[in-house]
Amino acid sequence: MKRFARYGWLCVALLTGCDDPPQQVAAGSVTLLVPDSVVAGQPLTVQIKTQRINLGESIMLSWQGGWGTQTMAQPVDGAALNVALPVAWTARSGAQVLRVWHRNTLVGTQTVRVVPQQTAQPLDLYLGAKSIVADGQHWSMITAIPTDSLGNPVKATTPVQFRFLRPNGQRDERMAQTHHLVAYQRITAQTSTGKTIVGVRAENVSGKEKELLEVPGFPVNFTIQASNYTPLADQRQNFRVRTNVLTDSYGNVVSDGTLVRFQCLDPNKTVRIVKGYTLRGVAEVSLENPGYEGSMRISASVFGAGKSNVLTLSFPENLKRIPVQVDQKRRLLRIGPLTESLDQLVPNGTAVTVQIDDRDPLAIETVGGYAEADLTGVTTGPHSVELTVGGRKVVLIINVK
Amino acid sequence: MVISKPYSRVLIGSSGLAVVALLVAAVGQFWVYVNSGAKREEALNLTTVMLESHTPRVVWLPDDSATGRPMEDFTREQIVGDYVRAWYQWQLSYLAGKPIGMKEYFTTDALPKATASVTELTQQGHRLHQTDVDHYLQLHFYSADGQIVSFTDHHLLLKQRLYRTDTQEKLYTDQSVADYQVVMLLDDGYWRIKHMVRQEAAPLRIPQVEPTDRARFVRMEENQFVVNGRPFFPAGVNYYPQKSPWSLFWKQYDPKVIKADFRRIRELGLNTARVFVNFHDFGKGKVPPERLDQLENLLDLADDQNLKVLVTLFDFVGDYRLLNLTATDRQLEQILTRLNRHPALLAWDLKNEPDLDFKHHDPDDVKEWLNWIAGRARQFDPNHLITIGWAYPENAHLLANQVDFVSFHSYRSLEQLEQGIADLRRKVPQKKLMLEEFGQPTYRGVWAPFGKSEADQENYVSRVRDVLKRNRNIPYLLWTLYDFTEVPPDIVGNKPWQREPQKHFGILRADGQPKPVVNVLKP
Repeated sequence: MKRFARYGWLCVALLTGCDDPPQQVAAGSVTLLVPDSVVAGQPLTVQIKTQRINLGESIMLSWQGGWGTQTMAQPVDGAALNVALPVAWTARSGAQVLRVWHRNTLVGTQTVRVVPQQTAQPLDLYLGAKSIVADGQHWSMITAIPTDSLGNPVKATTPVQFRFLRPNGQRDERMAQTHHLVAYQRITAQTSTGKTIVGVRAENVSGKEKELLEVPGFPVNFTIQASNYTPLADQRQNFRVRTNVLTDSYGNVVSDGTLVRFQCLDPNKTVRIVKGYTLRGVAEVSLENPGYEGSMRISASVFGAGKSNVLTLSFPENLKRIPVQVDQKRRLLRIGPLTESLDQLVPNGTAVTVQIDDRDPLAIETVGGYAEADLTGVTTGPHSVELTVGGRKVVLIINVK
Repeated sequence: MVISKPYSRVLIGSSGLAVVALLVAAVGQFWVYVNSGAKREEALNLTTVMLESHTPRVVWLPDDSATGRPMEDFTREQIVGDYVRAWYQWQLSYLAGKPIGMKEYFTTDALPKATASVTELTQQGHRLHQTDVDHYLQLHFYSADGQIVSFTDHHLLLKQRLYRTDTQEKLYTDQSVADYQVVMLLDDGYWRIKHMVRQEAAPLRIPQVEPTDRARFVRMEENQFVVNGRPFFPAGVNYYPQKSPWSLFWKQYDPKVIKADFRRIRELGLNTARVFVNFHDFGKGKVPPERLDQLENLLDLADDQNLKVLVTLFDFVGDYRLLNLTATDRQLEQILTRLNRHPALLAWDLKNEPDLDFKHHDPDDVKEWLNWIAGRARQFDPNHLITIGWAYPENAHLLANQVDFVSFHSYRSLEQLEQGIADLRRKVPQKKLMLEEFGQPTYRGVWAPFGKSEADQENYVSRVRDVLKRNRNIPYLLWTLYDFTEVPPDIVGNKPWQREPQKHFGILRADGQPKPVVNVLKP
């Protein structure tokens, strides 16, 4: 019998190709001859000695691993059974427990370590965060989860090589080992923007290229200036305000699309907020000249970060005079022709506000230098009229017949 | 075939009515459909709230010293929710014989690995019942972007029962403990399992509840109940408030009523009350804090009257499948860890009349559950005694080595009681016995014209006490304090000849007046 056991073990070893000697476990009424370990995906044959189980009965084999439990009924047709386990059972790595059951009773048990194969393609790599601020403080991480050809995580302490090409051209190489199925490296930002290219290799298997964006931080204070500026308070001309090149504290040009908020305080104290976005570090907006004489104050800022200087632009009075006539026949108040300093007519659409007595103010606009207010409903007799055009206010008495 | 005119009119009329009814039903269904929105979880792609019926024990052990980055408590909750849910869906899939709802909880490359065992077991003609009971998680790695996590699930306890699908024959019952190395990825709002590697369980020091000054609590010494070094002889009643018995007890819990009733019990010369914790009223695996407050308040009120309380757990549990195990386990933990230092507690009665379930469940399953619960009760409360309230003395020897004293009920004749005690003594000679329920109804009416009178009840109780005294003075708890005006139909059935006698077991009438039996109750 001893001789048989020796040769039996030899047969099992040859069949499984496993180096570990089999461990003989006797529990209850069967004896299991099975190797301690097997390489994932390799065939595994178990020898079961069933001296106390009657021929013709069956035993049940259960195989419990990380990915669940599988079973197999096996008829007992001799005192010693050689059972080839399905290859799928050894496909998953880890400590698998083989149990033998007979009539609802556990009669044999043995743990088999299924060891993973070498690292295989594809090498699972995860880089995140995808972009970080190039401020020398923020950091990202590259994580490798190497697996074998069957998808099993490779054995612990498998070396993993990380190589980096930084935005400043510097090359860096670091080694790590897999622990608890992963290997990782931190990537701390430098102070110049650009891409960090990452290459990873584990046991002669290379992963796909990964890249990390190192982006500029928030801009520091900046300046603005005006161009195409026509000093006429005509509400018609436009001028442009642009920033200088916005940079972060390390001199990196801010990212395209950085929102810059321009705030304009008009001569009549109204506030306009105009948004601009940077392109190659510069944000530019177009502003309309005010309709009132006076100074316009413009400043710009990036939310939570840099601010600009305050730009003051003067817009002198431009309207020459405000003639007013009452068209008794058509019951209209006709204002115009409104002309400017060069005797040119004011632009179409110039706003005119008319308030007759205590009525609600009436907003009208010029066409061809004239604005007309409807007097229908205005009783005959004298009325007080207040006109406002281009910031100038005129009060007069009209007589409606 | 010729149909006569009146019949054809009836036929046409009824057909028309049927068509109208169908139309109304269809319009109604459509109306319901258009007025019901998507479930919140589906619309917002949120993790489904964990069921109260699957609540394994999850404990986070201290993290590794270097985990990549610290993990937020919120993320831990999310990971636990999805990880436990993954196991639950796996268990459901084993039960169903096909994968159910697993794709949300496993990555695309892991899903085939997880579902393979389900389909292969089905092909083998086997059906696996499985549950995950304990998880001790240790964080190893959490990625900078919060999308990858690696942890070990230490000492993951799995319980299994394997059945043949065609004959329902149980092929084996198993329990295993192992460490699982797990990698999960956050994807589309779900933490999904990517890798799971089983390893042999490494030694782990699991936090235990340590015993405290046990002299304060009722103990067994030389087969006698002892408290504070003095012998204690339990004698009392099973208790429900008169107006809120059974399922109404905890829903209508009123401390004033309990206080008055406990004073009454003490005035009757008794020292013990047995109460029931309804498994469902106590929220299955998620016990509402107010229920724990109520139970603690009840014990406080008993302590004020110098009464001891025998608390019967898991009343109305009737599901011994493995998938229900964790809910009972969690309820046990929440109740026992809260009250494991309360001096008014006489003992934990783990289950009321579990042998009645032998008829409808596999007795081995019932016993396995009791065995499990008894072991866990010792862990969660090493200070108090435990027992099991068997319905019949012939079953009370079961699991006797797991309990501190053996409890049984008897509503049979005195001769049967005496014989039952004698038989039980032979099987468990070393254990103290307790007659946890006995009594006689005092109903004589339409549904029981030859029922017993109050004098009969007094006589019966007196003679039972004689039997108990003859048998080494067995402690006793009578059923029950009050007569009830209503008994819920799910207790004894809805037949009046069952319900009416059940209302009249009290030693006090429904109006609180004592029956003659109170004269023979004092120990």
